[in-house]
Amino acid sequence: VQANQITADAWYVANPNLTIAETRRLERVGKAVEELLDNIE
Amino acid sequence: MATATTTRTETGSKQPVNAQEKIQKLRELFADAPEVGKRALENVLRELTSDVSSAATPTVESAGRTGSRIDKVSELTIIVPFAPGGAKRLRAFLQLLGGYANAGKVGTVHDMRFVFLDNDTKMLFATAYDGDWDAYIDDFATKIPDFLDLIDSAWEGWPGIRSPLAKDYLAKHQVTAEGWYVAHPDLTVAETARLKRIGKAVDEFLDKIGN
Repeated sequence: VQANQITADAWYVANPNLTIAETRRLERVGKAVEELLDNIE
Repeated sequence: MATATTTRTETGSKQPVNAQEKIQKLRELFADAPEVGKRALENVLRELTSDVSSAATPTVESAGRTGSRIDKVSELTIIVPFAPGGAKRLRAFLQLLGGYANAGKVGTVHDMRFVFLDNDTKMLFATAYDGDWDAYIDDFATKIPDFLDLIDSAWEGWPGIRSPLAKDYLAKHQVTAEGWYVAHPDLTVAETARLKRIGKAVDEFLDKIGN
């Protein structure tokens, strides 16, 4: 793998501080907050 | 949350064969594959058959003029020759920010990378972005046109983002991926940012009531 890998000269990622698992958790938190707010209304 | 990995199919086209027939076709193609490939196929055959049969398999659609889209996220890959001196100029520009290509101002870019190929004679640019192809290019043209031209003027024959020929140039050099994966195809960059704010607010709230 290493022999065929090419390092990018530059790159960008919109949310470098979020792992896949953290994003999944935030999706659940967001859904729960929306349901909570719906129930309050 | 939908997790997506798949290969490209034409929008609206019917699948020509059922899952079993697709698997059979794959087995035929792998008959003359290296031994390691044949063994791997046999090892995952049951799982693969189940995946192919699953109704949850995401649909890969066209991103518009070119490229593919899964739900809200699209892919774009460009392979383009450098103009004389272009690689040197572009590398110097990209290194100004230490290799971090800040595209945050555009607001619809999930990730992007610049890879120099074949002894600096051509470049691969790959990105994942929100929405349709035309809107994505328009975002760059309206929000950061000069930064785009700083980068793309390294390419042979780049007409400039303000030229009516710019989109034709990009489409000509774009190669649609045969297969790709995105973990959260249902989330745009803006929606993820909103979720981060909600998560932070919930954490702060829980800290307060916990004290």
